[in-house]
Amino acid sequence: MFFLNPLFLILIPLVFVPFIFKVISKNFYSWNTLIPDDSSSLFLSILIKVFNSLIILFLILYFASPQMPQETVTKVGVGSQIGLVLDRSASMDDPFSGSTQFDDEGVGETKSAAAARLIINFVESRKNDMIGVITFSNSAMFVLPLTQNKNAITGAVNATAGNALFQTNIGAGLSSVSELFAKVEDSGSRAVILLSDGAGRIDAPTQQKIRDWFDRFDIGLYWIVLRQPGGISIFDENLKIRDETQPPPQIELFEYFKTFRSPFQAYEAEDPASLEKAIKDINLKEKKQIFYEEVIPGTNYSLHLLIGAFLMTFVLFFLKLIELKK
Amino acid sequence: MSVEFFNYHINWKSKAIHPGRHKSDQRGMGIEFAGHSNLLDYPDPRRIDLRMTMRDPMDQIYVRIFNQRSATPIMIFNDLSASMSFGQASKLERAAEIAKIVKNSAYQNSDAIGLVGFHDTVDDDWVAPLSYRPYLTESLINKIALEKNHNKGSNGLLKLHQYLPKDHTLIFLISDFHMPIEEITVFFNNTRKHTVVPVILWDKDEYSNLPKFGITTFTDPETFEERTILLRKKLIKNIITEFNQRKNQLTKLLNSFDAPPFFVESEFNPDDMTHYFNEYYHA
Repeated sequence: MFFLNPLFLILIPLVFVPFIFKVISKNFYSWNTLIPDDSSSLFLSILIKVFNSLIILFLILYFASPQMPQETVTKVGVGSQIGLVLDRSASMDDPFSGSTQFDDEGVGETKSAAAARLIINFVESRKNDMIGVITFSNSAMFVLPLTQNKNAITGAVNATAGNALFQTNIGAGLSSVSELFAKVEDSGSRAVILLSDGAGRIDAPTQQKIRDWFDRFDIGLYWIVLRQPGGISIFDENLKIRDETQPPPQIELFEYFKTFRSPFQAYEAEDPASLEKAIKDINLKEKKQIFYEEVIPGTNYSLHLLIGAFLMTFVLFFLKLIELKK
Repeated sequence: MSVEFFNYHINWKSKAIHPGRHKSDQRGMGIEFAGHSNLLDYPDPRRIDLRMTMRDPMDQIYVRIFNQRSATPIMIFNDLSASMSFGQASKLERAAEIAKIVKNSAYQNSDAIGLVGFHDTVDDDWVAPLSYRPYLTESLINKIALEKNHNKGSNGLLKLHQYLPKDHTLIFLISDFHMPIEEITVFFNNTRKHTVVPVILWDKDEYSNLPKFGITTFTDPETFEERTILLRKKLIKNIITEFNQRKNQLTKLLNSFDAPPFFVESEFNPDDMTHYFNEYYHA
């Protein structure tokens, strides 16, 4: 236990005021000796003095604000350590095809807004996840380390929309996200959700590095591709590649992710509905038991003290009501 | 306004020379026959007793001797301690009223009267010596009701005997007697050769007229000691019992000093005082 404002404690001697100073009521009697001893009255007078004293004590302690130190508790919960890698390239600000939500001017919801909205829903529905956020366009931007604070996560996800460059440097995003897991204890379930539209190429050394890290940290990868309607589908079996040496970046990235030893799952989303479906699927898959540590703030007893002081004041007020004014 | 007074008399012979209305052993122009004397010894030809002179074979001339009626000193001791401030009409006001009636009665009987006011000490300006013209006494009586002596007790009681004359004096001690029994005993031992009328001022508000229920803090005016009490039926009953016991205790003590107490709990009625003297001091 410690005090937030220990300076107030120098007022503690005031506690003795009710015992030292007299009321000097104007109610003069002739000779107090003639009033017989009365245990109830004695009890009452002591009670009033003690209450007075305690009220002063409680108020002083209230201002001093006693606080228990914070505690760290290991809890068992359901969830994962999830790194969100969000594309914030300029193309994410294009309206999403098949959007069901429109703004005042009839413009459909942008991809980034839809992604943010759905991811926030996802975050809200998860109980004990630790989530970190990385955004990237031409390079990775470290936004939030793994945390359980949902307010922080929501804020970080909301912050992804905005001015950006027309580049999609997935390699930087993925290498940054593996960084998130480096300093955090493995809870048993780790995943990265990579959300991008289109793809970019990753050079060979970076590819090797990313694969190593994902293996070492045992990170599952979920890749959600926001596809333009009519664009190339990574799942298209019949896709004819015009140039065998240079396949489209999506296909190349898909092939590369398949070489991961850690679990990998790809989704394609053409509109908010399919994006939601993909995220729900991830939601279902990432439900493993994890151990996590929760920091519980120490109890602050100020309110208890204030209530205690109030209750005693109330009692004294009641006694004041039945006081005789002669 | 008619002057209120009561009739009082004493059951001892006054030694005062000053003519008055009380029995005396001073020879003079009285009607109480004291004996015969020789005209040569007591040359008062107006009182020659012819019958006694005729009967005497030695031809002496006899004179009748009478005792005159004399005055007697009256002293008022007035308690001015803080506890006397109690009450709606304070006890001091009633004390002043009683002192005034005593003064009137003494003047009526052409007795000398004096007054001493006391609290923890006896202040010089609260002493009016015995006098047949009680102007000083009267001015002090007018000041009694205005006294405010917070925090003052009544220890001056023990010094009062210094202000008494040598002659047998009738003392009116006006007080609430809210003081330790020991002090009262010492006072009565100091005034054994005098006669004391203890006028005990109590107020019904002190005990039987207390409020029925409630919390209050009583401050003792003399010690400033505080008592928070929860007034209720049981406690009020106990307080009344306590006061009754105190009354019995005082009565017993004062009777043992041949000074029956005169309790005043509401208005002072001079006739009651007349009855008191008829009852205890019949001539």
